[in-house]
Amino acid sequence: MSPSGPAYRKPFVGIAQAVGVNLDSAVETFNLTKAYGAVKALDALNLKVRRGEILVLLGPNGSGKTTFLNLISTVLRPTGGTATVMGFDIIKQPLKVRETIGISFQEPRGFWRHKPYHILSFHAAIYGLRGKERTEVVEQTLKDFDLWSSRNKRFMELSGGQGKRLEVAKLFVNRPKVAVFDEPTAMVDLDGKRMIWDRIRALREQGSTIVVATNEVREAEYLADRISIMKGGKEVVTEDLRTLKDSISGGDVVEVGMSPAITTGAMKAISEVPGTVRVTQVSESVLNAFVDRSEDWLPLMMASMQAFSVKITSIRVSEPSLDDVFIHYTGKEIVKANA
Amino acid sequence: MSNIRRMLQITRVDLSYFFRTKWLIGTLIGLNVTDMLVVGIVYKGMMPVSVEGVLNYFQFYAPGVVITGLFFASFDVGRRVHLGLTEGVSQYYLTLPVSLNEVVLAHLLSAGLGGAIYASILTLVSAALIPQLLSLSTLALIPFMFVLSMGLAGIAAVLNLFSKTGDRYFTFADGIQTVMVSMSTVAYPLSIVSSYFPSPVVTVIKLNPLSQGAEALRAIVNGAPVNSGFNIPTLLVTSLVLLAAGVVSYRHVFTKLRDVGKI
Repeated sequence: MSPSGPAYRKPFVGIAQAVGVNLDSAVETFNLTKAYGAVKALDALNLKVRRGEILVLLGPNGSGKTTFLNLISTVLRPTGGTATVMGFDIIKQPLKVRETIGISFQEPRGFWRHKPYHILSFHAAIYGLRGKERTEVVEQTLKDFDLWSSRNKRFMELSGGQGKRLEVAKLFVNRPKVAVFDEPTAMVDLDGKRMIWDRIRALREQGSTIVVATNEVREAEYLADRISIMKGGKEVVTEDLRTLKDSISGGDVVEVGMSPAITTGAMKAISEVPGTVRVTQVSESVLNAFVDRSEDWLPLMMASMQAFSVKITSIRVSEPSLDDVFIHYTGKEIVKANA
Repeated sequence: MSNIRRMLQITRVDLSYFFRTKWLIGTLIGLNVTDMLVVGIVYKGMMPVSVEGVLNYFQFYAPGVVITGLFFASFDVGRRVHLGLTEGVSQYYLTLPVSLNEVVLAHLLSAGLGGAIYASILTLVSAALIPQLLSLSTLALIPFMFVLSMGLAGIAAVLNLFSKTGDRYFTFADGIQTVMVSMSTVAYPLSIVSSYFPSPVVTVIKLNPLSQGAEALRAIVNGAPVNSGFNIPTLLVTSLVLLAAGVVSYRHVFTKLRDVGKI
């Protein structure tokens, strides 16, 4: 039996059964692995998606995001480990999983000659919408996603952005308990991006758990309750944005302006304030302090400056961007990592 | 919603894609009707009246054209599945709450229906000149046409299994279609075929599902009982064997899709 065969998966299926249903988790993986020969697209991933949250998977191309989404949607079969979706095992109960989860693929899926109206209508019919209700839902969804005027165009005649909006719109027809979006705004213009993001957030408000894979930092910042940074088929870190930014030592940069000029004593005092990672002098009267958490650091700094005859004239705080966080955890800028 | 209903939705969409592809339908009908027209006008008298008990070659050939049309329409499922695999639609089906077996069955069912519906249309066209075809016997034959059509789709499924690229699929499909039509009694009566080919080849020609279907329709044209033209068990067994091959092939194709991702 090859390592990819059922015998290899058996122990992990047991783990999922032993753990049982976790009411807090919409999705939970247990050493979930997908290998293509010697290449591991996903490497023993253990990840929990909490019910009702928007979890954004952030990572460069080839980091395993799409593979993860395809595995939990049962599009792909794992070569090791398993996962549960709303308590259903993806290997043992794939039909139950598919009743619960919906995926919007990275590339729009449709036959060339089918029209947006028919594509959504088919999707609605599969999920049990019938008659007038189906017509209403489909028409409203087409309008919501700015596809109404293109409803009778053939799929092959849609622009990249229209095709992508149609792919995303499918999940708003059946509103699954777990909605999975793979790069939902790739190929979509700026207005369209904002519209899709708002609708995804609204879907969460209506009770769905959302998983989004992206390599766009802005998208992740706009949508995420928590962000999971992935690299090389593994999860590097999963936290909310605030915690991720705070986790970078010296990530907050506080620019302090002083009058008449910065003294050696003041520089020394600032560098000794708890939470200071390093201090650099920018000009005669301006310095940059790299600190862990600026909100904790600033009162301490102000207190320490009272002993000196300098007046603080300006304070400007900038926190690390998500790109900085990504570099911190992966050693690469996300744009270069995608190249 | 029951799984059966979901499966039938996939069948409906797959079938509609066949009839929605207007250039394909136009070409198929054009070729089949042109075939009948040329035979009706030019070759009508080429066969002695006594052969096979039919009045002229047109009456002999039209049922053959109907069955050829059924074959081509049923075989189109292979093109649709190939498109589904390359355009990711098959992967989309696998995300829906239907089992892999139901997706497989949905495709073969749509092939069966496509072949039977298309053959019925051609039968109606032929009936304009051969009124005997407008009979209850022809209606009784439709379920057999459906089974035959599903069986023939099994061959397309086997081709899908062995063709990684569109080029290969369409080349193999052309080859298979040419061989199957040539090695049948679609265009020539068995009595003529028997005098040119060795007996093993004649047996193959007799067992060819296209021959079975054509002979059944000819029996109706002759006013004979439907089952006098073909052997029902032979047709059913041949079709079911091919259908089983189709089920196994599509199961393998879609399982592989689950293992390797988009093809």
